[in-house]
Amino acid sequence: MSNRLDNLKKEGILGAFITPGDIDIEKTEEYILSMIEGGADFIEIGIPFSDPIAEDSTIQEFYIKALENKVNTDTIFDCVKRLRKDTEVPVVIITNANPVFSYGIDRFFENCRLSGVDAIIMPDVPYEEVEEFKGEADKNGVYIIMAVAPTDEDRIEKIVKDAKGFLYATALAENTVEDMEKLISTVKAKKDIPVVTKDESFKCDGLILSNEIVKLIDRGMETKAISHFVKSYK
Amino acid sequence: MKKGRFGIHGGQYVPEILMKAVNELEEAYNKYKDDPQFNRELKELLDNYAGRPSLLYYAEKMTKDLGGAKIYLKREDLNHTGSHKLNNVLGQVLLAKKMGKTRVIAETGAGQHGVATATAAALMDMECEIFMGKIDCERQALNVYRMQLLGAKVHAVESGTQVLKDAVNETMREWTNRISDTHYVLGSVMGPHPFPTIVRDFQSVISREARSQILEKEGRLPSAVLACVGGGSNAMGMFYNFIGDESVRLIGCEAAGRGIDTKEHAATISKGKLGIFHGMKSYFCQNEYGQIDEVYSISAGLDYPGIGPEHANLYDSKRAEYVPVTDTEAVDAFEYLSRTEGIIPAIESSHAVAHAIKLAPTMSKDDIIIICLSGRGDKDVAAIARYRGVNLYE
Repeated sequence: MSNRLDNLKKEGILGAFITPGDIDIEKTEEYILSMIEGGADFIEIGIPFSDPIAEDSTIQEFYIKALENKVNTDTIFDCVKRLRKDTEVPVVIITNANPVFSYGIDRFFENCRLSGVDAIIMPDVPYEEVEEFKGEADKNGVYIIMAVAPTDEDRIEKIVKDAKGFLYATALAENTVEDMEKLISTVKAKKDIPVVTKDESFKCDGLILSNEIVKLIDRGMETKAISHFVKSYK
Repeated sequence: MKKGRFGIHGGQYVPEILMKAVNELEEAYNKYKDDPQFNRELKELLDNYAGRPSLLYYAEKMTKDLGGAKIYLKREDLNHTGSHKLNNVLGQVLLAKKMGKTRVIAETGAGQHGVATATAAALMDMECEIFMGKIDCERQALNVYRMQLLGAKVHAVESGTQVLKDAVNETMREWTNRISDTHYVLGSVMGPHPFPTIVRDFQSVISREARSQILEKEGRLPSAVLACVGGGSNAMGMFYNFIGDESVRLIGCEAAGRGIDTKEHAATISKGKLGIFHGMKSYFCQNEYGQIDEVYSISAGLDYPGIGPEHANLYDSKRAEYVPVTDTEAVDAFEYLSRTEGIIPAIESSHAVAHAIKLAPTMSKDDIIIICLSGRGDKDVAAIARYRGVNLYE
C-alpha cells in the first residue's frame, strides 16, 4: 500500500497546521488549499479535542470553538475527502487518543483510508501504548507518526526502529538547542527518516507552522495572505 | 498483565516528553517503597505530624437512629489539614525529596489536596505551585488563602471549564515545562502509571488501620465499607486491604449532582464509557466523539469526569459496587451527621454518609458498616448555607 508521505522530501519540509476554530469547514478547506499553494509539503489537521493536554491553551481554545460550531471527527473526514479531489498533498491528522479510541479504532483507521488521510499523530500515545492502534493503522496503510524527545538512546532507538513517514521532535521547555541537536543526530544514526518540529530554534528537516497560522486566521487574515505567509517560510 | 494495568484499565498515555519523568518516578518508587529508612521517615511523619492512626469511631446515635447495621466512621477528617489527602502527599513529597526535586506542583479541586501539598511543601522546604480551576477558586476561596498562607503560589486556571479536570490539564502542561527539579504530586488514584499505584499504596494506610481496628473492637470484619468516589483516592485507600475479604462489600458513592438522568452529574461508573484521558484508560463521562463532558457536582472534590483505573477494574470484576448520590441527598447527610454525631463532614464524604443512611436500615443489627469520613466540612459551610438560602455575614 502506498502512502503519500513516502514521497515527502528529505529536508526543507514545511508542514502547516489548521483546525476549524471559528471558521466553517468550507472556509477551512479554502485555507488548506491556500496553504498548499504557499508551498506546504503536508497539511496537519487537528480533530478538535476538549482537553488536549499535549497542546497549549491557544490550541485548546480553537478546539473548543470548533466543537461549539459542531465540528467533529466525521466533519474532518468529509473535509479531507473533498480536498482529495483537488490535491495529493499528504494529510496528517492530529488528535488525542480518546477521539480515536471512542470512535472505534477499526472504524477510525478505515475512514482515514477511505477519505485520504495519510497519517495520524496522537500526542498522548507514547511508544508503550501504540500497539493497540498499530494493527488497524497498518491494515489501512495509515502511518502513526511518533514523537521523539531528548531521552535515553535505547528509548529513541526503539521509537526510530518502527517509525514511518517522519518523526516529530518534541522538547521540554528546559531542553537546550544542544539537547535537540543530540537527539536529531541520534535519530539520524539509526535511520534516514525526516525529523520535523514546531520549534523554529531547532535545526532539523522540517518545520510545522501551527499556532502562528491559527492565530492569523483567527485575526481574519484572508486566504491569499495565508498563502504568502506560508511561502515566506520556504 | 502489562505494566501499570488493572485489567484493561490504566497504562501510560502521556506525551513522549513526559515519559522520562514517569519512568524516573517509577524507578524511584520501586527503590524506596520497601526501603526501611524511607518507611521509618514516612511513619514518623504520619504518626507525629498527620496524627495517625486516625480514629475508628462508633457512631452510636446514628446507628440507633437508623435502626439497622452498626455504623463506624473512619475519621480521616481528623488528619492534619482536615482530610485523607495528606497521607498521599506526605509520601509523595518525601519521595520527591529523595529524588532530589526542589519544587512540587499539584492540581486541586476542592482545595484539600492543594492545602495538603502546600503543607507538606512548607514542612519539607519545597517550592510549591498549585493549579486550581477558577470556578473552584471562587467556591473554595478560603482554601486558596490557606494555600497562600502556607507559602504556595496558586494559579487560577481559566482554560476549558475552569474546574478540576482543567486543573489537571494545566498541571500536566506545567510539568512539561520543568521535570528536572519538579515533581507532580498527583492527588488521586488516577493519571498515568505509576501514579494510580503510588497513590493507592500511600492511601492504603486507611484500610490497614481500619481492618485491624474493627477486628480489635468487634472481633469480626465489616459487612460493607463505604467511601465517596471522584478520582477515587479515599475509596481506594478504604477498599484496598479489604479486597481479599470477599464477605466485605466495597461500595463507592459517586456524585450524581442533580440526578443521573440530567446532564448535571459526575457519575462516571453509572453514565461513563471506556476511554483514554489524563494518562489512563478507564471510564469517562464523554460524548459519542470522545469529547470529555462538562460534569457537575455540588462537591468540587467529586466534580471529575473520570475514575481511577483500579476502581474501573474493581467494577468490571464486580468486586466493588458504585452507586450514585445526588446533591440533595449529600446535603441532607451533611446536616444529619452534624446534628446526630456532632461531626461536620466534608460535602464529598457526605455522599458516602448519604448512602449509609439508605443502606443501614436494610441491614441487620449484626452487620457492620464502616464509612470513610474522608474530610471535615468546615470548608463547605458557606456553600451549604448558600444552598439553603442562608445569608452569612462576614
